[in-house]
Amino acid sequence: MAGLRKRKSGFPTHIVVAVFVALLILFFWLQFLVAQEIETLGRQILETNRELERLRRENAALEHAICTEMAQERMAQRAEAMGYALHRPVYLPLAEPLAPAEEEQTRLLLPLPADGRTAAPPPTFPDTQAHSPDIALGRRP
Amino acid sequence: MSANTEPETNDAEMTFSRLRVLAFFLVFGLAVVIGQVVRYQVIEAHYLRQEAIAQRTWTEEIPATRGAILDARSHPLALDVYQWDISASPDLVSDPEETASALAGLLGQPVEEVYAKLTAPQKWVPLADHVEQSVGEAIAALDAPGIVCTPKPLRVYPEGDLFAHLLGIVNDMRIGFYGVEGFYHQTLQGKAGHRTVEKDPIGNPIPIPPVEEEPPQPGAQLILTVDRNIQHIAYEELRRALETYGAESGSVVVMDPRSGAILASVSLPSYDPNAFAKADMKLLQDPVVSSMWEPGSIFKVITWGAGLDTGTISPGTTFYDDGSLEVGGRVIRNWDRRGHGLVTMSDGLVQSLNTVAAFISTSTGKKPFYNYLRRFGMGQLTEVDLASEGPGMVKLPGDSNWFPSELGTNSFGQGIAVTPIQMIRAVAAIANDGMLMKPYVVRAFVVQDEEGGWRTVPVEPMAVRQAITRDTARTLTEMMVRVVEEGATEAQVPGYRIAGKTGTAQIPTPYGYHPSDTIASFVGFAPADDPRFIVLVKLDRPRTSPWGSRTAAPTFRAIARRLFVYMQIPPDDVRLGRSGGQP
Repeated sequence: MAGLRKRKSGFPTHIVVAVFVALLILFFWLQFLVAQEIETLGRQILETNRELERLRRENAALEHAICTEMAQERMAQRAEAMGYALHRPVYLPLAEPLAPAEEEQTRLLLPLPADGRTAAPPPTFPDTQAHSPDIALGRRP
Repeated sequence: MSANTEPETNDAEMTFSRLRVLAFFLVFGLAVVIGQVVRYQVIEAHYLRQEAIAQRTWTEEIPATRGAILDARSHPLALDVYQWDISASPDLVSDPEETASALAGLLGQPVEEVYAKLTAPQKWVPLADHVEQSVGEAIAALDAPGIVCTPKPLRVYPEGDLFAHLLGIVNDMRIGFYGVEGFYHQTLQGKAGHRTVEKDPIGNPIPIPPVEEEPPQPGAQLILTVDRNIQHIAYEELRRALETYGAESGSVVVMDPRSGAILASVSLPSYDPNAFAKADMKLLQDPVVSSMWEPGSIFKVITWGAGLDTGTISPGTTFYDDGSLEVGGRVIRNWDRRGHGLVTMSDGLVQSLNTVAAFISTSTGKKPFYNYLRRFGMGQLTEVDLASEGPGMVKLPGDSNWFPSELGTNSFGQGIAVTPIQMIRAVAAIANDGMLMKPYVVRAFVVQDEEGGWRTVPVEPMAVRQAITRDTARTLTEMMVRVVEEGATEAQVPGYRIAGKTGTAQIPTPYGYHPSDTIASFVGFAPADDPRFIVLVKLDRPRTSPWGSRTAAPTFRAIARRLFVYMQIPPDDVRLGRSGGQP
């Protein structure tokens, strides 16, 4: 009797079944939506990865092209074709003597004479000086 | 009734026995099913799971990027680009005609040929290998069913043959050989990763996150001590020297003597590492670390160093040179076959006298003399970080092939074999106050840490040992300055004090020394009081003159002159504040 009373006071069976079916449909629908979302995102990730790889490869190819264009041999040939050539260095004479840096002074192999002008007679370069009269060597011409 | 009862009893029994049979078959069937379930779910579960995974998944290797090699100024010297391998699975090609016409234009092949491949009764056919980047990308963009496009990394060297020997090569199997590529192969290659993805019945990956993924670990980038501008200076001047002096081959090494860092290393003839397969195999080895030669007079600085450091001689020690000296039963003569009378040790080095060298080695004694050779690293690997280094050859007293006369001949660089890297390192020790450094070419590693960021790991210079004392090194430096000022004048650069030594070595053959061919060399460093660079020039079989002073010394000068400018080293008077523009 008690069981019968409970059954009477509960939801009708067809409503319970309807709710259950509705929940089932909702579940599958949500799963479908989520699966679709995952699939779309997955495709996007795949495409993005492919694009990233392609860009990496393109970047490597461009870097190679730039490096090849900037190769020393190629640059030297271009410079030569444009009329550039190696130039001997020209040192300008100094008006005043430079004070040697302290640590440099300690490294000197030749002792500086008392007057501090020249440590040793300047070396002569019989063969080289003859070919390089334009080099001032830090001295007033 | 009884007649009726009997058949009923029989029917019941029959029915019962039928039910028993049926029950038996049902139980048996159930047992079989349970048995199979146990078999599939328990006994063979692991194997079947693996089979199922293998059927629906696909594991692909993700190759690691090989680290780039950069020069001291971070300019790429070796890097990876991509080429493509194009292949097809004919079974999966949906429209062979259209696909063939699309591919033929891109691959530059006849349509009929491509069509034949696409319709071949095979599971897989290669269409083209080593297709260039733009074509490969275009074919991949077609997204044609059944067409497989695989990008493959290819090592390229934008500077061509400029760094060929120093860098080495990477073969088709992506294995590095020779030079930096060979020595640092493991560091550069990185570690390949893998990715396992699920695939659909056609074989295309399903766009869901991978089942399993281990990302590749890229190889470390290497930053070298080598400066491509200095390398180019050395290359140009060496090439000019080979042309001018008619030498067969040659090498130039530039090093920072204070640290042992190699600033340039060139050998000619060279090869294009981008097409190394076409090159002569003999050219692939780096002569700077692999080729030995009898150094000749250039070696005398080591002998003088030993004599000075043991106190056997001083720069002013005198020796009467009558033109010959007998050591161990062998008569040693000077290069000019003349006697020079009373000479000091300084004079002996300036005039490069073999008799004086033999006098020093014999006076020093064989044990101390060979001990100093070891201290300067002769006959030992320098452990430079370049592949295929040779140890040179030094015969020691006690060896079966050592003769007493070798104490004399070794003193001026005969009967001994060294590699250019050994020789320059030994002389660099003199420039570096007697401290022998380990030569090196990699200044820093750029490695990826666990969080994916990049960090730089610097390489510190490494001192090996004090070969000679600081005082000895400075005294010897002054003697070497005299060599350049009075002897090898063609090595001079106006305004700079340079310490150096020439060498003219005879070439040993199976029948004694070659009558005319020589190996000319010069090693020098500058500025003498505070060396910033040391240069070794070696020219093999020069034709215009056999002498190092006439061929290698001027080559040194040409290089040094440009290095002074490039490295911004002012002339000595300016640098030391001695001129001050006095009239």
